[in-house]
Amino acid sequence: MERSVIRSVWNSGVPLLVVRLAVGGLFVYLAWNKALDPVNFMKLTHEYGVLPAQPPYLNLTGVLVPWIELVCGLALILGVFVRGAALTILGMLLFFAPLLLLRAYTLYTDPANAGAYASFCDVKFDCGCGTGEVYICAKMIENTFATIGAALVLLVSRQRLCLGPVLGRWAARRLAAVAAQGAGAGPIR
Amino acid sequence: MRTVLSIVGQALVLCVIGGAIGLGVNGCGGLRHFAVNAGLYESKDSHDYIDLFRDYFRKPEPRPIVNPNGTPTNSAATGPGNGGVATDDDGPNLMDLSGPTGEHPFRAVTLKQAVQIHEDMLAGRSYIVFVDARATVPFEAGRIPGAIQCDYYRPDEVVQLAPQLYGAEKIVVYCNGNDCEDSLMVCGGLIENEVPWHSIYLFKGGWEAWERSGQPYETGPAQE
Repeated sequence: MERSVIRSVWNSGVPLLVVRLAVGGLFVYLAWNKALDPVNFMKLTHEYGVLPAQPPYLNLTGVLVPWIELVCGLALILGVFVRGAALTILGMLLFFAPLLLLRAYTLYTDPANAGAYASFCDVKFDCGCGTGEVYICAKMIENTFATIGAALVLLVSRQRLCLGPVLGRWAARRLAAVAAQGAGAGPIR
Repeated sequence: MRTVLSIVGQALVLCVIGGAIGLGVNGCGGLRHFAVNAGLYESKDSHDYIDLFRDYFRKPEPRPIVNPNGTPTNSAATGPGNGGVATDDDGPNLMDLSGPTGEHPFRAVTLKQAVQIHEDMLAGRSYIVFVDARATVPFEAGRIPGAIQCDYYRPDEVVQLAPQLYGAEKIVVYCNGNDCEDSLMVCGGLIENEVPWHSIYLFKGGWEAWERSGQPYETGPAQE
């Protein structure tokens, strides 16, 4: 009885919709903050030292990444290209999480910061995530939930409560109507 | 396999759409430009867009340093040799580009020296300028009194400031402190715009050291 209730709730698509809205909403918010100050985002990305400092690498990163995140977040919220959006977001999270940890560890073990942090979780810095300075542990918890959410959306093959199929059917009908009009016009003499 | 390709294809399409929007908005002056004009955002800074071809992180290039009288210096790269304010004899020979945490081509001043120079500035003993290399939000949250802002990442900020500093006897540049590189970038930019090297001083401790020591500070927008 309980299992059938859980199954019917899951099959309704509502839990996955909640996950999509949460992850998508978070990324839209973070991406918006980054897009408003792309230079600061580029500066903070430079501090990780993973990309060459010469143009156009960091410059393009500063321009493209916030908007890709924003589009993917919106796609998750609206239910368009959901699994592709989840894949992109998951990729970004898995790429940046080790860098965040490494950066926090570097700050924690830096002799110049000796005594500044009582524990690793006290390390606080602007990670370039769009929220200003954050405590590393809180940020990792947030990232973990986002990663699990994105992975869940990616792995579920049957997506419900999505705008994508509705838009797809509308587009197919429009194309069919245009094609029928074109065929009805007949060959050009 | 088809499913995997379909998912990857969706991801690529979204990346292309996002990238195209990003390039388009950046080319039109940035998102903040639109948001401020639409009244959605109160502009606190102007890092609106990124110049795709500008090297934002280029450190000052090496060049031989000469004394004010034109003779080359031979002294090693050190800061001020005594406990007093840095003098012209304390300059380095060739520029070392290790950055502000190591050897660097500008004379460093300690907090004590920066406070002394600031007192000289307030007393009007000579033309002294403090330059804050941070962005607008931290600048307005707290700065050394009388400091003028020079955000290296804003287009042409250094170029516009440099002519005002040609006659300065001492220009003390600072940012947050520790591993902040913005002050070093500003110093390099000033030299490239013909500000005499021997008038530039790098306050490595920066705002953090000034604030921690309980020195007076000012807040709010810069006074015209």
